[in-house]
Amino acid sequence: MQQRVHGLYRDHHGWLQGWLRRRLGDHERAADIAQDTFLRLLTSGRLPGSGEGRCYLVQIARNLVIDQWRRQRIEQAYLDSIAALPEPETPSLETRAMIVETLMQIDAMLDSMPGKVREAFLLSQFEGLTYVQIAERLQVSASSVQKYMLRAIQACYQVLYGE
Amino acid sequence: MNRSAEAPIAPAIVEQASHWLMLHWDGGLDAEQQCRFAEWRAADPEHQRAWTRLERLQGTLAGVPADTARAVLREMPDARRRQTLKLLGVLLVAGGSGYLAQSHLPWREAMADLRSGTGERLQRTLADGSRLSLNSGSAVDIRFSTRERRIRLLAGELLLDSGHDAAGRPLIVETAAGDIQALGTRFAVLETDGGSRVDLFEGELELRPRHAVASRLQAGQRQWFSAERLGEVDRADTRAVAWHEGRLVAERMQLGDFLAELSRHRPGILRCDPSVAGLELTGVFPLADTDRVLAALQQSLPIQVHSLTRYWISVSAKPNKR
Repeated sequence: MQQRVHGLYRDHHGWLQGWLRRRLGDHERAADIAQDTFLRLLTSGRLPGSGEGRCYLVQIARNLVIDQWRRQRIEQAYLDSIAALPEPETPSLETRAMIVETLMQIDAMLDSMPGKVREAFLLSQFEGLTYVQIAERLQVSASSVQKYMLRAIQACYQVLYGE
Repeated sequence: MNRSAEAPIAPAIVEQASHWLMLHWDGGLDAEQQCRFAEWRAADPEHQRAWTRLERLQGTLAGVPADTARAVLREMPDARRRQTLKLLGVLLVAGGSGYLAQSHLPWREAMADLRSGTGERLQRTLADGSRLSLNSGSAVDIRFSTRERRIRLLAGELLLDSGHDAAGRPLIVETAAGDIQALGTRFAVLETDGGSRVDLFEGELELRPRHAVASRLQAGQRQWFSAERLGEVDRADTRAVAWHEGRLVAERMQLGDFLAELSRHRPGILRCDPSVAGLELTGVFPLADTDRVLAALQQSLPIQVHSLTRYWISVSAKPNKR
């Protein structure tokens, strides 16, 4: 395993970094992400088939960039949302880190849900609406809302425990 | 923690547990359901294990105050989420302006399968023989599966000559506004005014806005649509896709519109003074050398082109000689 990752590193690291640099326009960030890509490859324990190395690495790198972007957005939005709070109610650094982590997870869950399912889920969990109210809002039957919620729960389960 | 606690749980059991949680979330269980739920949990240790996992999920969801979740998840720059929030309406009224402003998704473009830089035009023959051209500053993702051929236009403009697919898979161009399904055609799609403008030159198309009724387009027609509505049907304009051949064709075009179009093909800023924006011009211009186009304009119109640098150019009225 180690040896094959080493081989991939030797053959493709420079190329990957160049590919990222052209796309991100940022030398340092490209270097960081190229490094993280190989780290992710090592910890995932899965290796690409022969001849698929670059394609596979690009896939990982792409996901890392998107994840970073998502995290930045979430962190920023979170900081904005607590900026107005009076000093004593400001969450501690540890709490903040935990909340950002949790928001990342919830965001990934929302991402994996189809449109109506996500709407039903948001209304139920964060707006506190009952299924009957959701059915009215979305103009569907109450049994459809039940189906949506079931799918939403399974999507959440996949994010937390899948694969 | 022992290993068995982390072993996968049979999907059928997860489904049963999910069903119970779904009922819990709808205002709790009545006495009879309580009883059956207790029986179910006791029936198999795997049931209990699945339930524990869902309790943990509930813990995750409860780990964020609802108003924080609403505020933050609303801010996420995800095209699909944006639609959800539009449908939710209420949330947006509550102040989601930052969300809608996020129409530009730089990382999606940066990571696209195929993209053209400013001033660059690309042509590719796809796996099914379709010919795809990208105008300056455009990006697409290409997703061909066994079920469909899907091209996602992330930014800019494309022209597609669809090939015949041996497997008969539908060919779909997806934009933020919705899907455009080709039925053997040549057509162009431009991202503009918060929607997509489609010019159809051959064959037939179906436009499917995300939240409005679909519409059919015939050869020679043009229509703009957004996620919520369809614009008027107009005449398709082949001059609009002259970029495909490296030309910009203007026929009684206003200078302001012309320069806006030209600026798509060169880096930097190209400003047009309002006092000359209404001047009309006619001609065929090469996109390969936009500097020369600007010089030619200066010859034929009462304007002067002032360049601070190659990247900052302003066009204004020629000063009157006294």
